[in-house]
Amino acid sequence: MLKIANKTFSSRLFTGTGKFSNRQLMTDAIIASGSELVTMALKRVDLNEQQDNILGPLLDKQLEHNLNLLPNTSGARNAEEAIYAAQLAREALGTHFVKVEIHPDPKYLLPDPIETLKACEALSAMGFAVLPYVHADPVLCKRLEEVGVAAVMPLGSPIGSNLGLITKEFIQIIIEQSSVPVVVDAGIGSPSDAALAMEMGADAVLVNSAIAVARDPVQMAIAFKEAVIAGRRAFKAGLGGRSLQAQASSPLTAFLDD
Amino acid sequence: MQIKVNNQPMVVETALSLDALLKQLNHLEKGVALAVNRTIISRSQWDSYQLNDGDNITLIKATAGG
Repeated sequence: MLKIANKTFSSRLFTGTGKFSNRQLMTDAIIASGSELVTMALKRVDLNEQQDNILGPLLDKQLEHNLNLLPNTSGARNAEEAIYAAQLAREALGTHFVKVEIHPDPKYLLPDPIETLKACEALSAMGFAVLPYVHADPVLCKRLEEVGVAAVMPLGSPIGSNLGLITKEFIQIIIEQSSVPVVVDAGIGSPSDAALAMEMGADAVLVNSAIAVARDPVQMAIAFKEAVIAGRRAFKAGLGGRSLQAQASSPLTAFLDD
Repeated sequence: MQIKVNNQPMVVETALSLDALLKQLNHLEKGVALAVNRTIISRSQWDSYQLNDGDNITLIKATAGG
């Protein structure tokens, strides 16, 4: 079982609630995925709009499916805003889990490492279970661990890009060095990407867009669930080594010749 | 007195509590949080918290996101 802060998870697939075409499909896909940690964002209530309760059907299933909430600080451009957002999220959702996400540049949505470190240090000291979204930077991940984060979430590729693990070698170093759980976040575009991350020894993966924008999100959620289970099983079973040269798997005795 | 809620100016009666304001706005539902002048006020304090002229209220809720 995976443990992050005070919570244990029987699924190593974390999911997000963004980009689904409607709330029922979102709820069905997340439940089909077996995910027990689900991200969400914050927004200002629009006073001119009657309550658009997009998360309602999902939150109704929270207890039945052991769904834990992971609010993010998306929209924050610096540490101060992220700390403020985290406190509002804790108040709104009653969880001390927070995904620190500080990306000032909307084109690539890459996280600001300096502001992220500052925010994580302050929030960890305030008793939050902090899961920072970061670049796949092994040095930064160690620094975050030192300030008390509950897990690190290095990106595979830019958010929503579906480019997969273009940071693979660096994620491998992070996994090797980390003493907190490593959750590969962002850019995982297909179940094979998720399986690869798990085979490498990631503790979990976070998938949102690849499920939400699939032609059939419910079936894709199931495919990711199976890929994560297979990848984890393969990691535990121990992969065989690689070599450029062939290594015969059948006897090469020339029995047909004589 | 005049206050702002999510940057929208509005005139409300004096000696209004946060709880009463949210009731007026029809936003007492679960899952909202608020701050007055960037100080977060927890739900348990809403009925005793009296608003002042010029207060700036931020009202947020969870929404879909990754």
